Amino acid sequence: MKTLLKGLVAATILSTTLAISSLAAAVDLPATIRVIVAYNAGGSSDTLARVTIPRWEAALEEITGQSTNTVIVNAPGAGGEIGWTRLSQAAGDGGTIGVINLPAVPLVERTRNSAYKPWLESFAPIAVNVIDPNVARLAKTSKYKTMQEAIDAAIANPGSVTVGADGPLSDDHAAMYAIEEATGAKFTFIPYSGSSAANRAFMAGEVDIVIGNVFDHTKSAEAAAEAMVLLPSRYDFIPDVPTAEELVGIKGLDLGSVRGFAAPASIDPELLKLYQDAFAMAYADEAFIAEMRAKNLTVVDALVGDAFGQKMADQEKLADTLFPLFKAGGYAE
Amino acid sequence: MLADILNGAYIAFQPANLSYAFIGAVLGILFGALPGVSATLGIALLIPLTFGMDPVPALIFLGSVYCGAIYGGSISAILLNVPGTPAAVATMIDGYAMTKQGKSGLALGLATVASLVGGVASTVVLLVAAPTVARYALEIRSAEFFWIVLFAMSTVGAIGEGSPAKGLIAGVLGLALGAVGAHQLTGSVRYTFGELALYEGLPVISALVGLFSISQVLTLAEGKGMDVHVDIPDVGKLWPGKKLLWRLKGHMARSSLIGVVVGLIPGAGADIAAFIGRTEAKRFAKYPEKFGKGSEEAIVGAEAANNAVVGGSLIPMLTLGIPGNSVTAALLGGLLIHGLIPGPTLFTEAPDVLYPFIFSLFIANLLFAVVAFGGLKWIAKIVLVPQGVIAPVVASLAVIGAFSFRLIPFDMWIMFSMGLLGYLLRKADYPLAPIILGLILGPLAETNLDRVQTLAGAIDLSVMEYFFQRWITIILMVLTIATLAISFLRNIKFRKSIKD
Repeated sequence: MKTLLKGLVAATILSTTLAISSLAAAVDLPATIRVIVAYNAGGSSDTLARVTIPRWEAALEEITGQSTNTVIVNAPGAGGEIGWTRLSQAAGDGGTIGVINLPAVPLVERTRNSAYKPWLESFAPIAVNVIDPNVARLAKTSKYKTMQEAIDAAIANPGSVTVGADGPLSDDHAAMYAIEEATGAKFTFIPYSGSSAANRAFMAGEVDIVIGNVFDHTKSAEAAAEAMVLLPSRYDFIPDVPTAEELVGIKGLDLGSVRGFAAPASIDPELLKLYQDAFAMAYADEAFIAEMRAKNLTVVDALVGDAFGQKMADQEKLADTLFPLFKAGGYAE
Repeated sequence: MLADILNGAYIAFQPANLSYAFIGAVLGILFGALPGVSATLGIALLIPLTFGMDPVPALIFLGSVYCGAIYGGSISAILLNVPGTPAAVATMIDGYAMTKQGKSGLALGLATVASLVGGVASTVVLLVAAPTVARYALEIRSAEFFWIVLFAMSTVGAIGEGSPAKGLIAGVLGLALGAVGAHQLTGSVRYTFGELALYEGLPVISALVGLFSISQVLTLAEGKGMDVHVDIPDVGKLWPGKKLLWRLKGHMARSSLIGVVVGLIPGAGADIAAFIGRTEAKRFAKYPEKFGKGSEEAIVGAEAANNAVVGGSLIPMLTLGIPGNSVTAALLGGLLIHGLIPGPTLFTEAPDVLYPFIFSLFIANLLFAVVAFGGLKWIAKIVLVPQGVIAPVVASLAVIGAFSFRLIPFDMWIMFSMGLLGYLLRKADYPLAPIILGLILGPLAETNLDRVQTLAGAIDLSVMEYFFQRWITIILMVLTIATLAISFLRNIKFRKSIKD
């Protein structure tokens, strides 16, 4: 898979270089490109944009020989809905792109009948190379000694085991339902405003299990009796953490927070292609990837264009599967 | 931790950060000295300036404004008999009396030194105590947090300005406003009328700016504006002399302690601290008969106390995310904008932001003293700016501030509506600070109680049974109820003492 992707990326770059001359003549870059981030400055999506976008801008200018300015616009509010609505309604002249967060986009879309419904037809995939996998952990303070024991208790006695996470409607919340789906367990969900608050409650012994992302785990690894990453294989940032399959035998989980770049669906196809190529070019720079890792961005192999589109379609399927559980939990109508 | 502190000092002393502290302190003094612009309003209006800054300079700037503004209020109190901030009311009585005796320079000098002592002492307490409190606060669970918030809210009505009943009503109004938006735990949406801008509740910054600035502008607009014609007397020499200061050292020390403790208590602010500081200074005074007629002991007692509130009030705000007064509520908004969520984890997650900030408070205190001794003659002129000029400037800053927070035009309407509400409440003598505290604390209380309910349900307990599961929760419950009772009794006594 990895080598195949690398091949794909290489091929994209190759075709980019071949296409440079023709594109440069055919497309005019907007003078200013606004990049909408649906969360506050300083958050992980904001950091991602601020690290990536200057590289992307340089790549754009290198490919086209034209100059442009990029501006990061933070449009927080309504759990991201304000920013994503703005992105979906922006003009298709290439003057606006943004970060979309999955599975939050499809989950918010379903619960609130968002203006960007259906989301798959509202956003055109550009590229992604950051996916932050979910990690579920059992607290040392819990009366259950192992994760298996906790899950068994949640099957035998539904609702008796508490799971804390950022929420509601977060990727962590979705991950809990995915575990329920896979095992038949029934947890009591305890939502916190932000994964940092959930992490603190976990350390203070308020909940049995906490679900977060990679760096939530590294921040409080000592408080965990057991941890598992909800991916098909181990994750290279935390190689010591076993997968859910290794720890408790749950197969097929592939859960995390996907933070990718997308354009409004109305974008000019030639510009979209150009934007995708520029991201592929930026992602191919090893020094840049090292910089991202140093900034604690959970880099994965890049998915550009249709490959990201496929990831989006996967997330739509996931949201379809899990949405009834959100409904049953009272988090959606 | 020592490394964090040293690193904090190093960052705070960077030339760029020093200049932010300097600009903040000067602006703070000016805003504080301007009658009608309180410390809260000053910070609320200046937060938008920090949107584009990095977190460290932004916080250094705002912290310096806080220190400068509390001090600056004494300038107009002493020179004009008009308190620049509510915190300066206690200084005014004796300060203006001294001005009438031609001793305005001495009064200002004493106020400056006492403010410096109070400010530095409280920063030392903050530096030492906050990380320790934060470490203990890590153990706090939802049940305890709920009771801490309840404790904060109960004191709001009891020791705020004005009548306790009006304070409580204002607090309840704040709670109601805090209910607007998507419920943090269930996502169910309340009172938004389909307006996306309200999904995450009333934006605190826009609400705060409106409540404090537009209501002030409307009040100012009632006056005629340009007809105030006052001359400020020549302030002369400021330095009060070593001998006099040494004689007053006890008052400064006592009032610093009072200020820190009052700052710790939610609901009480710099104004209360200054009154208590002055009253206690009278009790221990060498010349109690001079109180009210230009007592040096009174000025020092009030000014050391109100500036010592700064450090004290930052402890619950930084370690628990609970603002004790309207200024720290505004600062809390400033922190959130920069992605810093106040709470016990802040000290472990962002020491590189917090320690420079705390350290810069030392610098800010020194800077306002330097500025005062160097150029008070010129700074004092700010009090002569006619209200007809202040009002439109404040109004336009408010509009910019409300809009630039999220770039949502609707926020300007929120600001205007809150301003109108604030104006009406002011007319009826309701305090405004409890509204902002209710707005911030309400959702905290609600979400924590909801979590407790769910947690209790998971182990088949009722909420009340769950509260009795841990000793610390029980202690907090008792403490809350006891404080409520004591503060009401104390309040009656305290109000009497002000009247005397």
